[in-house]
Amino acid sequence: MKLLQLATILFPLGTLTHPHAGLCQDIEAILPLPEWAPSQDGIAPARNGTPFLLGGSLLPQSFPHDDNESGNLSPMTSQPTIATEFQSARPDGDLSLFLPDALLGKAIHIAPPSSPTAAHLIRKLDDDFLTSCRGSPGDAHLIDPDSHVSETQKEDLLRFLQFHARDARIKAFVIVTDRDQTVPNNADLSNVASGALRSHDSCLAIYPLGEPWRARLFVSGSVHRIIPPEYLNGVVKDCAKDAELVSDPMEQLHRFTVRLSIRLFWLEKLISTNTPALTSVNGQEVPSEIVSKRQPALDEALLNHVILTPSSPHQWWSVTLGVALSLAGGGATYAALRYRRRRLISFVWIMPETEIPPRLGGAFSGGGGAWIQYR
Amino acid sequence: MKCPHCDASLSESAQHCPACGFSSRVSDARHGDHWVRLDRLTDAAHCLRLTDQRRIEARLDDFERRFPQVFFAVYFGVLPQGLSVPEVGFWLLNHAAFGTHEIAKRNEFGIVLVVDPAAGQAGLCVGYAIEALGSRMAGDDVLRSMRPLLAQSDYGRAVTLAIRHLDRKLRSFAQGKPRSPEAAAMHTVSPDFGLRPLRASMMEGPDAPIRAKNSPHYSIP
Repeated sequence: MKLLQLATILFPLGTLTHPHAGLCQDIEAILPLPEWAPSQDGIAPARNGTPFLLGGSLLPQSFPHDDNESGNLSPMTSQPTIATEFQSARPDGDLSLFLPDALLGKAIHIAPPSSPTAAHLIRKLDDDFLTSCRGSPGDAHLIDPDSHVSETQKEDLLRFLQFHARDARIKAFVIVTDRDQTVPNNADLSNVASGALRSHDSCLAIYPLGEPWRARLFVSGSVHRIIPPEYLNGVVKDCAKDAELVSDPMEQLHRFTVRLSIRLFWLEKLISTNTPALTSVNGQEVPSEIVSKRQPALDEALLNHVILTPSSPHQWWSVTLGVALSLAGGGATYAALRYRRRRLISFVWIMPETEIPPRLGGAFSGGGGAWIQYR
Repeated sequence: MKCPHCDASLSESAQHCPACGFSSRVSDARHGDHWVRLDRLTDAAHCLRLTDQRRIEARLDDFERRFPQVFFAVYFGVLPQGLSVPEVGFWLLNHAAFGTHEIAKRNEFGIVLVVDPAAGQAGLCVGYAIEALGSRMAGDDVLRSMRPLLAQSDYGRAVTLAIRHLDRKLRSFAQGKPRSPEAAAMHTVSPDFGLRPLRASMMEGPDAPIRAKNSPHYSIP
């Protein structure tokens, strides 16, 4: 009986460990393995670093190997970029198209230095463009009717120019045009930004995107009467020269705007000090008085409210003085309390002797005092 | 100035009350003209806790050390009918030898607080030397500050508060000097007046007869 039970258990085990040959042939017919033609598909050699069991020798040579993706099975050593997460298989759903290259880890494309637009190819700004400029609000310091500047950079520049306008006497307005556009000679620019140029001391820069050397500068009449045109010419050349240090058009515009803001602060200082002789300057020859005022003007214009205020020496002195006064006050109070306590302990108080005629026949008291009914 | 018996106004040198005829002689006839010994803290009404008594004793020690001439005595007792609180204070200052540490203190510099818990009355009686300091030492404001605590039967805190008030007031009248033997000797009294001989005899022994031969106000009971 026991022998029969043992045989019943061992039979299924035997069939599992040694499958029947006929059964294997049926499985091959149902699920055939791929067959590679030896003539066109040789067995690919195992690549360095690829474990054999991971199939390196099973892939045909025509299989699209990508050393950066499928071949390299070791852990990633480089930091993953946002692009790997946002790049999808569908081109229309690729979010990386909306992100800047720097954020995606791509190398910033440096365009080759473009040649200046030929004079006969330069177009005049049309009336619609100028009308849009005139209709822009007074606090829109960056005017870009044709939307040459991307939204984020436009916001950055606008914030910067508004910051400049808040602190500077001469406000800056920048009109961005296409690289081959210029202002007509008879164009009236006094009404740009809803007439803001006439109501305040202002400066208007017409900036052809990508060609900073063709930028033009206009200032209000109050400034123009004081500052010689040669100086203004030097200012715009200095700004253009600073912008030409980079090749990216947007970066050029940014540098041009920052430089213009700095120079307008210098100009404001010169107007306030009423310097009598303003000689012609260019970007390389800066008057010595301007050089001496450069760093304070820079601090005041760009850094004062951002960096210097928290670490202002005046503020530190105030804090130090406050702490010292508090310590002195505390020490004086402590000393006064100590003195009072010492007086109370080590002093005696002597009352004056006064003669009073006896009253009511009392030898020591004549009924002086008071009484109350407290309940 | 008011009469201790009927609270009528008195002149500065009145020998008896014009309203009720009260005087020291009348008081002696009612309550006796003998001298009595009295501790500076007497709780005949048994309304003070032991901790309050100790706290008051400590404050009284500080007070007497600071003012070598002055003493402050407290009497808690249920007074019989017809006896007012100011009248008891008047009689005590003129007929009691208070058991202070400084036996040379004269009753002219004494301040006696009498509290009758049953009647809900409290009175502050001062000697001539304290009375001469001015109306500020009359004790009205001191009693007013004590009133809430007395009404709550918090007698211990009421007495310590009174001591603190009187301390502050007296210092404004007195002259502060560093503690020295000379300063301690400044409040010695002339041997022919005051209670010094009386107390000297007191200190000879607890049961020694109280004699003050030089005191004109002394009479043997």
